Amino acid sequence: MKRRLRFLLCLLVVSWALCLTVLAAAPALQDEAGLLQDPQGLEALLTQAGADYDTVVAACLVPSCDGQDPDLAAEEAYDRVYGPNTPGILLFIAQSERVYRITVTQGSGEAFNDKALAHLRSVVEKRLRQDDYDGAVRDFAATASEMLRLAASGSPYGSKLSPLWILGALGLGSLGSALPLGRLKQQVKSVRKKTEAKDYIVPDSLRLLREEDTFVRKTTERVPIPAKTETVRTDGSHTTTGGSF
Amino acid sequence: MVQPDLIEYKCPQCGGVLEFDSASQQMKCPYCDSVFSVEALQSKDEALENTVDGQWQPPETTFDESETANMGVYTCKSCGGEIVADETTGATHCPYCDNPVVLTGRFAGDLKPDLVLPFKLDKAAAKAALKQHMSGKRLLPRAFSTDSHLDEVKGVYVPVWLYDAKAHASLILDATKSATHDEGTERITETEHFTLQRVGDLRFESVPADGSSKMPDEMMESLEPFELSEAKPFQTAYLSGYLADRYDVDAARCESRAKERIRRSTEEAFLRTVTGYDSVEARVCQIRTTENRVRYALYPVWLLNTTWQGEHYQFAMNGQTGKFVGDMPIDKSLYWKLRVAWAAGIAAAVYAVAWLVSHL
Repeated sequence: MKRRLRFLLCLLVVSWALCLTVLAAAPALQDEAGLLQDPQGLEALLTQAGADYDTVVAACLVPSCDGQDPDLAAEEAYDRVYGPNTPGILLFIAQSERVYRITVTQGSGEAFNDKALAHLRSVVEKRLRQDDYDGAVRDFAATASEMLRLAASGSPYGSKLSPLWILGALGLGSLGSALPLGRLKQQVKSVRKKTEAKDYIVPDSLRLLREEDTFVRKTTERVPIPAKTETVRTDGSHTTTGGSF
Repeated sequence: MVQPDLIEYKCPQCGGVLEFDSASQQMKCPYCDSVFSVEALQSKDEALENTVDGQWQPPETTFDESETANMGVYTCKSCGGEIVADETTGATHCPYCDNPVVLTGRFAGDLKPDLVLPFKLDKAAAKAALKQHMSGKRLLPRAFSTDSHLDEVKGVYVPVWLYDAKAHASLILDATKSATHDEGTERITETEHFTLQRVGDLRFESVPADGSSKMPDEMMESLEPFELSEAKPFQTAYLSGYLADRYDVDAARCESRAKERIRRSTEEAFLRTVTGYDSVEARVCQIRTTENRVRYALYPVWLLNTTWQGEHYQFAMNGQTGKFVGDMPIDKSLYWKLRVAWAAGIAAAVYAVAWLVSHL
């Protein structure tokens, strides 16, 4: 019995060590498209972001999806390097299609819920629209780290309302109260000037002697359609979201 | 000096003074309840066609010259008492015996009104309307209803100018129609621009403007509309029992007020003829009036004056339809308490909804 217990314990220690090894060996950043100015610095940030929480925080930039669905391409990029059962999050960017995806494994817990993913999308998309790939990866790492910290503290992102909501509610309350009070005030003030004489128009006396509608010109305005943001897609092992930029 | 005629309508049965009764729309004796039609007394008004306006008799009192410049003194035919009235007073009561009197000179010749709208509601209705007006007003200080003193209630015929006109309008308008569709990565908005012309006529009848400087214009306008289909040719009998003033603001001075209202309504009516466009803006709007006609009428109004905390408040009721107007004070502390309570309630509701949505 004791021997069995000792054997199981050793197995657990070895697996854990292997995991760590895998995690330690797998790079946090793959820039196949050569888009980044400071890949070493960014890789260090990504590695540090997930290190304290046993979670992979990674980024992968490729020249193209080569006709593959971007969602699948992102999920495969993660699984190939880290494995589908490793908790983590990956920022995937395809340069020529100008699309990005954020894919999260199911084992990541509450850190990357729907609200968190929506926030990550807005943070990353803002930088990508300016073609600031370094900034996108940097902000992604910092935001993902913050979300992991919040989840570890028991209050995942979006679970609490921002204090700004209190100010907003008070502002709305102040404006909203003006309407019913204005009506009550009108009850007490009934003397009003008349500016029109519609009560004194002779019925059916309007005669239109001339009615001309002349076309003058046509103008055309062209505006680029704003990039669409995809909805969240969830399959067995991943939740993937993203958009174009 | 010729003193202006005073008329008192005496009851043939008992000699009491007849008053116009709003309920029956006839002349009624308050002493013996005898009733007579207004038409029967028409002969008294025949002299109005030729009457010359009376000469002013300066009062034999110690008034300043400026105070007496616009006043006259008359002798009551019932009691001989002196009635002092200004130059616009047309009907009043003797201050000694309270007999109603009509100063015919005020409504003679060119000053004779074309129409009169007889009173349909009496003093009791006016007092009841005031009570009704004060009830149910959340922001009215409670003490106003209980502590305010009704100083006087008077039925007044207010002189009003009625303007008929044909408004001729010529408008040039800029209008647009837009359509939007997507093509590839672009959103395309196509806008068609048009110039519209509208020319035409519109008739107005009996647009009122009050001809008395003693009656606030806004109060008189707030009492509109009056039902002119019930107007009668003028007879002094209708004035008996009420106060009446002749005009002191003539038709020419009131005309601009009526014309402004006609102009605004004409523009609105012509803009409504434009349909099928997404936006319309008037670039040029020329309106002139022709076939102008003005009539002089007397409109019935009950005036009620109250005092509260040293402030005077005036109310008015349309003596024909019963419409009641008058500004009242606001309880400021209650206003702010309610404002804060509403704001807190709405803020709490908004925050609660946001919290629930965030936890879905």
